[in-house]
Amino acid sequence: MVDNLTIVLPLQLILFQILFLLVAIALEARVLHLRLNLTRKTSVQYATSLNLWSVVLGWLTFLVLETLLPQFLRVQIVNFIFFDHPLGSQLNTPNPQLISIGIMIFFFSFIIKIIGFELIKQWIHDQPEQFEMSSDISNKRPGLFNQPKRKITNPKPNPAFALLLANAYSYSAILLILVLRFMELNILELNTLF
Amino acid sequence: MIRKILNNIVNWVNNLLRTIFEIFNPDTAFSWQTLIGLSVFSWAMSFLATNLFTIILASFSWWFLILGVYWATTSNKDISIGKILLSPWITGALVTIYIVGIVTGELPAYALVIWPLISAIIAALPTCLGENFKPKIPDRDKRQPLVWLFTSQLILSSWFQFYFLVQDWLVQYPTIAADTFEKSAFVVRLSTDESRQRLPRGTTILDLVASRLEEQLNNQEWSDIEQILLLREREQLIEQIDQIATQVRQEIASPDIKEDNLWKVRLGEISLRESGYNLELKAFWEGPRSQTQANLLTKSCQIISVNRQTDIGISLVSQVECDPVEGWRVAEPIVTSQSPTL
Repeated sequence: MVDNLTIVLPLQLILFQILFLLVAIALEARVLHLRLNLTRKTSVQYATSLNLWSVVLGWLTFLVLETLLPQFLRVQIVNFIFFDHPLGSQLNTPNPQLISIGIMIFFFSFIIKIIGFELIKQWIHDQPEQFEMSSDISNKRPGLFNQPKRKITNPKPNPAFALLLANAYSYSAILLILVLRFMELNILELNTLF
Repeated sequence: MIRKILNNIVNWVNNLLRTIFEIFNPDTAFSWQTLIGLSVFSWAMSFLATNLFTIILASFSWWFLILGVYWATTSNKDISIGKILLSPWITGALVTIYIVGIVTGELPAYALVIWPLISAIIAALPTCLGENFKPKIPDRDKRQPLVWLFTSQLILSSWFQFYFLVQDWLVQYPTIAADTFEKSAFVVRLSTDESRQRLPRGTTILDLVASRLEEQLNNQEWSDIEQILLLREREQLIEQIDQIATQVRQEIASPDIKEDNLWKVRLGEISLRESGYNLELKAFWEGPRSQTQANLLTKSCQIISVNRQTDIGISLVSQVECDPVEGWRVAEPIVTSQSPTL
């Protein structure tokens, strides 16, 4: 089948995927640790599972979509993967199609992570280890002045919001890396011009 | 001195023989060496057996080999990366070869896609099997590692899948290989030998179209030719070229290659030359490419008039000659950065 002389390996893809996974796990573990009152270890474990899970579902979606796409869209993807921009688009400028696809991927992965969080909780079959709630609130006599403070210091853990926030953090970091790469490419291009 | 070296060599051979002997002569019969031995034995026997027994013995040979290798690699804690034993992946490779071999009768490279998944199942087995190999729900502290195991192996499998997808694309759109993809964030080309780089497929299309056109315009009455090349008859010529291009595409069509409809063949300029006309054919590549504009190939054909002896006398007929295809990655002009100095 491979009669051509070109051997093409997806090395950058693998390196970028590993880098993004590490960044996402680190950032999301921190958010989960702070927002869901999980121990550090549990939050890292959860973040790892969630991110691996969302990458797997992302891959499955991509591989299935690729077989279903009509040619003009497939050619766009091929062009993006080989030449770093959609077919016929202006080089070196942010592309609206790409940005909207990025936003879609963000919300898609958010939903995937909520589902994944529930599934993992079910699978592990117990509540994740949580910090013992600090008891300083209960020591105080509940009263008119204590109530607003109580809401701030003891927020009810909200997994969906925590996951949205975690997702936002990791995607921002990944976006930053991509922007840096984009700028570096442009600078290299300028260098070759002069 | 020589004696010392000889002594060393003898010692080394001695040790090697002893280790080999120890490997093949284990302390108890219940060991992986026995299984490997059984595997070799039934493999050898399968040559002697006939028909069905060949298959059965060969299968037995495989199963003994798989179990033996699993035992050997699990018992040896050195075969590992960090804390992760490589045993499931080594055994998984054998199981993959066995299963794929049975199902397809050969070993396609595609088997790489299922190798991580089979290895993950093998790695998960010990935690999912209780005493006497009864299935059980894994212990609580083993559950999350199982999630990591299966998801990471699925990702690995997706990478292999992506590799094959990229190779498929290169077969379906061979012209990509004629371009440069240094800027890609996904893939890297390993063979960078420029001289062996492919020609864009458009050269074939353009050559064929030109030769058809040559056949049709050759040896015609010169007045007919001039009629055809007239500006007001241009529509007809364009249509003719379109028809030829469609025909050529159908002729060279292959089920693997999907890029032919992305090549657009157009009539370029027709200009006067001293003894005839110059007709230009252009092929635009509108498929995946590194530049924004469509890549362009050109081929120019000279149509000149010659005298030919016929039954009724000497008549003026046309003669068409075409140059090789020029343009993108085919015959790029040699650019010299320095002007020649005297």
